[in-house]
Amino acid sequence: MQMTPTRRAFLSYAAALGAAPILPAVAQKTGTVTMGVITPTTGTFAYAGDLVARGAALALEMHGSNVLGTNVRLLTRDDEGKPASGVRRVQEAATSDGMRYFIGAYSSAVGLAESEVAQREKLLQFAAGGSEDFTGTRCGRYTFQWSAHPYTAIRATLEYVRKSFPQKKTIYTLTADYVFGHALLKYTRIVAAELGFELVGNDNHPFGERQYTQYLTKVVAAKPDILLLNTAGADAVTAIRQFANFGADNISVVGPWTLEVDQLAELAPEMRTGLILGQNYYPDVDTPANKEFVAAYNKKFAALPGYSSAYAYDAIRTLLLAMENANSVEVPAVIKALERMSWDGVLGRMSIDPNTHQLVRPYFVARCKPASAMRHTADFAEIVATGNAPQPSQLNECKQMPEL
Amino acid sequence: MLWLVSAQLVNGIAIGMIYALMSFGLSIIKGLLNIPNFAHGALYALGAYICYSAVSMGLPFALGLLAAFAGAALAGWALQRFAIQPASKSGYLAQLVTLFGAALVIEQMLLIGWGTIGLSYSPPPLLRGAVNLGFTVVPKYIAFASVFSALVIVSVWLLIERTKFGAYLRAGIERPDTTRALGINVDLLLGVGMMMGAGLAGLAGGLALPLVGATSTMGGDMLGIAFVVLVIGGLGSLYGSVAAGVLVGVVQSLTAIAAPAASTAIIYAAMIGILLFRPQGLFGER
Amino acid sequence: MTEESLAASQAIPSVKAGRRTFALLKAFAAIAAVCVLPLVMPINIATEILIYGMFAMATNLLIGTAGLFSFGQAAFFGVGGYAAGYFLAHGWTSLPLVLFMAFASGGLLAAMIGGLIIRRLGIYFMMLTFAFNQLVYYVIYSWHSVTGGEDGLAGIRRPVLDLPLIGSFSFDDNRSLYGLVCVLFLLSIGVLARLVQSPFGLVLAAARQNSRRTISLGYHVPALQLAAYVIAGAVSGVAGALFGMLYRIMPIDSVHWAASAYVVFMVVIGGQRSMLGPVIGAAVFIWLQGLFSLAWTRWPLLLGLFVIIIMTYLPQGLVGLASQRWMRAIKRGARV
Repeated sequence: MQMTPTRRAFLSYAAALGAAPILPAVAQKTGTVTMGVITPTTGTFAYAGDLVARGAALALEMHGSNVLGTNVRLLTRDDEGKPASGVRRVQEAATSDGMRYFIGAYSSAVGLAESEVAQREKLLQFAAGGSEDFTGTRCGRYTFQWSAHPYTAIRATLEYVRKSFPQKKTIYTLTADYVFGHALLKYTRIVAAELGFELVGNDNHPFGERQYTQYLTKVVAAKPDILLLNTAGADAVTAIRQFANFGADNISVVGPWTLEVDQLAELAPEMRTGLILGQNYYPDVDTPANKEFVAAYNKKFAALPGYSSAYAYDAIRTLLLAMENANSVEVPAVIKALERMSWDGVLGRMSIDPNTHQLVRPYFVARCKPASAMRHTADFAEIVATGNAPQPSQLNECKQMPEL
Repeated sequence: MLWLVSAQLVNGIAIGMIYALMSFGLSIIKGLLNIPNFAHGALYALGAYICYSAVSMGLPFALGLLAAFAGAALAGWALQRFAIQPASKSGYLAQLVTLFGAALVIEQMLLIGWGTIGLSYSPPPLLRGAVNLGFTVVPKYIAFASVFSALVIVSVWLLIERTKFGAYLRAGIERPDTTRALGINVDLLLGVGMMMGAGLAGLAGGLALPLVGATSTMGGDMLGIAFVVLVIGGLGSLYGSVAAGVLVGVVQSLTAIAAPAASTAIIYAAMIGILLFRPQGLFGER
Repeated sequence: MTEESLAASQAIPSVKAGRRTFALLKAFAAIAAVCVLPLVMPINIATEILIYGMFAMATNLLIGTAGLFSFGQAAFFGVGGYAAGYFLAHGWTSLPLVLFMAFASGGLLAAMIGGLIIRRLGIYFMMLTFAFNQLVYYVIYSWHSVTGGEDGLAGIRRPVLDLPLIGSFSFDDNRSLYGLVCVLFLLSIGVLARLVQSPFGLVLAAARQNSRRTISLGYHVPALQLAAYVIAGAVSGVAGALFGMLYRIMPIDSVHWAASAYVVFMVVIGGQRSMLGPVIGAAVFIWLQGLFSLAWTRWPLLLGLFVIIIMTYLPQGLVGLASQRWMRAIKRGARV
């Protein structure tokens, strides 16, 4: 994919400390729109980077690599899952490669750090990640959030539990001790009150914890109906693995925003069975745009797409759509177009809340299948519910969006 | 409250034994080569991956553990031969930096070999589920892992204290120059010691596979704890790390009752406290 | 500066003169290099190289000169950055104020930690610096209301320099910030180079080689080592503040112990026995990261191999190689 720009960038970088001075402006070609895929290919989120890049490249390819007669090129950079590297790569790509649009951060911390550069350098960022700050305290006119709001996620997931398992009433929460986990816990409290669940206990665990038995011992002793995991990624995978060792089958494990489909393969089928998980994306989503995407992805990579690829695909697709809508490839025009657009995206009918830049979109609840019911190796779960309740606006902390 | 404390105590001792196994290898390498092995975490991850491959080829879990030990030991030998030894003439710091570099190389090779998605393995059927002790439940696998770690540590102890090879090894640790003067091949001894330490890291990785899975970054997560254990146990003491491992497991487990979020910070604070007031560690001699 | 300087001082005067010319040449080269740097690479990368160059030089005062192997310098870089960043994010944008805050907070923390650990030797000292680094990391991580926790400290504004009669000067533009970083960078080279060659530096170096003998000569070695530790901490703090200004954010990973390890990488790759070595190390390290990451997604492997190869074949680092050749050339010239 996109070998030529990469090789060119590589050579100019190699030359940078060599004899020939390459002036920074050289790569900014007129008549080309440069979109960045700044994404982790090393570090904790190493699995995501290549998948994000695949989705982005596919969206561009299916659009003929140009928009409004202008060439579009992608450049891919490694943010290492570290904020410092993310801002470095974004800044560098903006100044020396003329990048004006970017997507790809996998960790919220990286995305939020990059958002500072985006506002300053007037770059359009289509972010993803679990933090509500993207559309809350740290919202910005140049940043859009693709992932669902934590409120939407918790509401959709717990609504399903309430409807399908009316006898399950008590919840024990395990919360990651950082902003993301605390936000989930805050909304868990609100939604539990709305739906009539009883919260019987909570434990905060440090981010990056690899030893959960001490918390799980407490959970098992408290005998709740539900263990709600307000934690994500590798932490959640480890907690689920260790919980499986307890053999406490009468406690249902529910994760409102815990594991995307990409990471389900990390669990053995017997650890996964029966998990109820909120999903930003699932390949079974039944929309024309998604069917087209899944077919093209499967043809090219012989695999099913996951959250990372779908996010990148849909974000790039939406940006291209917005450019056509605005009849311009200039960032301010595209931002204005996005703020008033409504379109059929991969997830369904979508729009952007102009006050927060949150993507208004459905969220999916999936239930994991036992190994015996899986039709193929990636058939982890089935979608059992969909929800799209937006965050109540009185809870939003985004102050007025600035002028462009 | 009492049942909770006892429950966490049991859990803490169990996970502490795994820490002990991990740190024991670190302790042997520190003793022989006088360096903190910054690549120890990478070797631990390597062990987990090797064990995973072995069991997914259909081998029994026990052979998976053996393979983890052997594979990591081999990697340890290569590390000593191609990285530490060549760098030793450049000085102490160069060896440390080399070990950092080696850890980067190993971790990336894991990603190349096994892919970027983490892996999981459920323990053999016999070890699934939990034992009910009345006041608490203990997962069978955790119980097995701690007993197994204890057995491994005891056998290594016997090997070091009761055999001729062990005598050479101890001599190499305590009096490297005299040992050389006696005509013993110290380089060979260092190689074997490195293999043993690395092998134990790999074994700990294999043992941890059903608990934490196999991911390329798992080594970094464990390395911090292993260093703390090593220091608390005493840098000059071979066996201090065993007791310190259990201690750290228990402290971590007990803080989960009152202030779970602080459990990581607490072990670093404990490490500082011990280094300041008893620099030789809890069990080290000056 | 050890055997080489001894050899040089005993050698014939022309070698001494050669060394002086060499030093002068180096100073010119440094100034020329910082002027050319932004022409050959993106300006933010050039700025970063100078910032990390400062950080690495400060670290090398401990490692190379005093022989104190600290694996916890990121704590000071981070605390300086967070302190300055906090002021800049809350409306205090006066340049002297924030630089002072960074300098003072880095130095103060170093004085506190150093006071406790400076008498510990070798591996104990190393592990203590590591442990304190982790502790500082967790404090910053948990103190969310002030530091932003894992999301980092955001909203950092660029400082303003108020000059009486001339007016106020803002560093909003990346080029003017580069100018500021240049000035501070050259200033730290000057100060640190002076320190290393002063009696203070010579005693530190002597203590590195033989601590007991130096003490028996009547020098209060731990106090001098503590002073070096505090100076290194303060300069690292300023470097951290500049980093925060550059990207307008202070990320939490800048305090992680891995960042401490990376600065040791820079020092060792570049060469511990010269002032410019760590700077070259920082430049090469940052440049290689960018280069390798474009070449291959598994680029840390290349970085690891690079480090192993350098350590195997160039024990004195990149600069060691260059200066060996240089010294040989001078000696050959003197003989003729």
